Amino acid sequence: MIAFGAPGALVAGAMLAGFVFVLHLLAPRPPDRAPLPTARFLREDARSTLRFRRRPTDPGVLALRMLLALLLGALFSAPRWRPDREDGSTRVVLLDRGAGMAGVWAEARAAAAREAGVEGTWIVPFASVPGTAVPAADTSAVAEQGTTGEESSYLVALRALRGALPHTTTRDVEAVLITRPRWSAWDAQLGLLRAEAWPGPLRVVAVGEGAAGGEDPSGRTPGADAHRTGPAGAPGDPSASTRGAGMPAGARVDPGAPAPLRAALEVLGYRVAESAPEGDAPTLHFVSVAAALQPALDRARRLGDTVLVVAPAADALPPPLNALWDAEGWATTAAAAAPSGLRVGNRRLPLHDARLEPGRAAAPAEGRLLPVVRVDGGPVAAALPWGAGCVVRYGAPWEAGREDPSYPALIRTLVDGCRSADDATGADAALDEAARALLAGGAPAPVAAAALGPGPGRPLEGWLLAAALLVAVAETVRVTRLERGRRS
Amino acid sequence: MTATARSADLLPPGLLAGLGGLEIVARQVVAGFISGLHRSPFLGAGEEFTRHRSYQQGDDVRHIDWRLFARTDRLYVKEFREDSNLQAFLLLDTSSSMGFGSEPSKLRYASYLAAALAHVMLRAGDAVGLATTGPHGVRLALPSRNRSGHLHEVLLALERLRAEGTGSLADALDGVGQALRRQGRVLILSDFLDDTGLLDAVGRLRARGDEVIGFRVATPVELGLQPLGPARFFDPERPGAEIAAAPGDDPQFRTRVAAWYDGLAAGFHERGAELVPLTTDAPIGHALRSWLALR
Repeated sequence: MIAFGAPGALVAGAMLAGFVFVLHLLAPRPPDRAPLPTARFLREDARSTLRFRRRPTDPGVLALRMLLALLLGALFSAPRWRPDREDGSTRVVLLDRGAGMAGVWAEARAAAAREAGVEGTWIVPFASVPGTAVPAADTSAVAEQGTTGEESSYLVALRALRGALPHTTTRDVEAVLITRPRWSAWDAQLGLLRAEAWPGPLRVVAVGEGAAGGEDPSGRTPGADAHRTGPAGAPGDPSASTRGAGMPAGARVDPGAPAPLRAALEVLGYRVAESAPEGDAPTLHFVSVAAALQPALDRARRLGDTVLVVAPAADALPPPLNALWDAEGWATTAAAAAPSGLRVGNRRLPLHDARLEPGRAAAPAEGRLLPVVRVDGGPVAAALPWGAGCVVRYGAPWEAGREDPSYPALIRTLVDGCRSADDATGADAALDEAARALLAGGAPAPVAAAALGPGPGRPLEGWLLAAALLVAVAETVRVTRLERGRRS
Repeated sequence: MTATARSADLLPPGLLAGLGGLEIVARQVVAGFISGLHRSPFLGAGEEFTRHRSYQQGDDVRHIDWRLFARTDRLYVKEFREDSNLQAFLLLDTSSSMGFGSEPSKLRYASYLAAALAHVMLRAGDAVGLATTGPHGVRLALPSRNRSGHLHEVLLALERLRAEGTGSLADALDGVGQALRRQGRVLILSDFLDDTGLLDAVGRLRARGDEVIGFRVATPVELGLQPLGPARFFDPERPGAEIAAAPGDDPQFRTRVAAWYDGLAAGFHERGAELVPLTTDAPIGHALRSWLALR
C-alpha cells in the first residue's frame, strides 16, 4: 500500500490541475495556420474569426499540464510504498546505558545477549537520549560501549521504542527493557505519558537486584525506618531517612559543630547530644575537633558507630583514614563541589553555593567508598568501613547548600555512611512495585506495530520527480512543435 | 531503402497488372523513325495498306497495283500506314503547391502516374523523356529515349523529385517544345493552379502538331470534397497572404474551385488538348484505364 505523509498535498495538486483546466478554457487560442493551395478561392468569414477566439488550447498540452500538476501534488505528499507487514513478532530490546548501570553492566550485557538470541531482534540503547537501533547481530558492539555518565530516563526509552518501529517488518512487536529499576530513571511525567509513549506492555528484565547497598528486589518504600526517633517526615515522605536496620539511633555532635548541622540532624529525626554516648547502641558521631576523633573511632570499630569527620578534625585522621582517596585527589582546602551540584549516589543534588569551589576529579583509594561526589567525579565525601562501623570524611563546608531543598538528602546520604555508597556512583532507590507495574504496563502481549507508527517503506519521491520531469519535457516539446507549426 | 528499391515502388505490381495490354494510341499522327504502334503524319510504305491514288511521276514503281491496272487500264499506287515511334515528354510540376496532401502528396501521386505512363509508352516503343518545372523555365531531367534501362532511369529521376519553390508551367511547356525534335506528345502532370500563359503555351505546342494531355492532380481537400475546419489559410506559393475562413462551412468554395478547373478544361479543349481531372484519393490504375478506355 502507498501511504502519504502529507495527504493535503494531493488535494492541493488536484486543485492545481483543476485550475490549469479552467485557465485553458478561458485562455484564447490563436487559430491554426494551415496551407491550402486553393486558398484564393476562399472567402473571409467573420464568424470563423470569432470562433477562433473561443477555441480551447491543444488537448494534449492541457492533459500534460494537468498531469504535471497532479504529479507535483503527489511528490510533495511524501508518499511511501509500504509493503504489508509479515506475520510474526519482532522483539525490540531497550538497553539502559545510564550511569546507574555501571556496577551491573556485565549482567546487563549478558541479559541483552540472551534477549537478542531471537531472530529479528533490534537493540535500542538509551540513557538521557535514545540511541540508534541496531540489529541483534551488533549487540556486542553496543555492549562494548559501556555505560554513559548520564542519568537514563524510562520515558526516553519508551519513545525510543516507538522510534524503532520503522525497523520492524512484522505485524507485532514485543518490547523488553533491560535496566536496574530505580527511581533516578523515573521521569516525573512517566505516570501521565506511559500509555502515550508506548501503549503496550513492557517486559522488564531487572539486573543488579540484591547487589551491595542492601537493595531489596521487592522494593523498599521510602520512609520505612524502624530506628528513627524524634520528629520525622510523614511515612512515605521521600525526604525521610531510608536507613535500614543497624543505623545509629542517636547522634552526638561536637560542641564545635555548627548550629545548622544540629538543626539538620534534628529535622532528620536524630536526638542530638553533646556528651559522650552511653551504652552500646550504634551512634552517629559528628567530629570536627581532633580531640574527639579517637574515642569516636574506637567506638566505631567496636560498636558499629558511624563517624562523620569534617575539617579541621579531618586533618588529624590517622592512617589509613587520612588517605580516604589518593593524595592528589584531595585538595588541602576543603573539597568542594562544582556549582552545578553534587552527585549523591546516582542522584544529582543541584546545590548552588558560592562557597562550593571546583576541585579535581579523583578515584577513591582502594576499599574506599564515595557516597558523595561532584558532578565531574571529584570526591566530596569518602567513606571507609572501620571495624563494625564506618568513617566518613566530608570535604565541603557544612553551610554549603543549607538553603537548598536537596540539603536533607545530602545529610541523609552522609549519615548513611558506608551503607549508602556501594560503588563509585552510589546506590539508588529501587522502584517499588507500583512503579514497576506502571513501567511494565499490564499483561505481556505483543503490540500491533502497524497501529503505532509507520513501518518500513520505500520513498517514492524519486520516481515521482522523474515522472514530473519527463512530463515537463514532453509538454515543452509539444508546445514548441505547435508553435512552429503555427508560425510555418 | 535504396533508390532502386524506391523506384520499384513507383510501379507496384498491382498497377502493372492493371495496365497490362493497354496501349496509348496517339490521337494524332506523329512523325517517328522507328516503326511502332502509332500513325505517322508522313504516310508511306508500311505494314498496313490504306488506299490507292493515281500514279505520279517519281512514285516507286514497286507500289503500283498491277491488278487494278489490269481491271481499269489506269495506273494506281498503293499507300500504306507507317507507324513510327513517338517522342514523348512527361512534364511534372514540382512547385511547392504540389507538396500539399499526405499519403500521398500531389507530387507523389503525379510521380506514380508518370511512372505508369512511362512504362506503357516505353513498352509501346515510344521514346520518353522527363522534364520538370524550375525557377528558370524547364528543367530537363531525362532526354526522350527508348533503350534498355531507360524506364529504370525514369523511375529513379521521379524518385528524386521534391516539391519546392515556384515555376512557370507555361515556360516549362515552351522549353519542352524546344526539346522535342519532331512532333511528339507532352503529358503535363500538375495541379494547374498557375495558369499564367498556360493556355497560350498549350496552343503553341498544338500549333506545331504536338499532342498535349494534361493530368490535373488535386486533393479532395483542395476541391472542397472534404470539409476543413476553420483556420487561417495561406497558399504555400504565396505565403504572405492569409485568409481566415472555414471551408467546411462555405458551400460555394467547392463550386468556385470546380468552375476554375472547368474553365481551364474548356481552354484545353478549344486548343485541341485534353485535361484529365484526377484526385489523389482515386486509384491511379483505375483512373488511367477509365481515361484510356474513352480514347
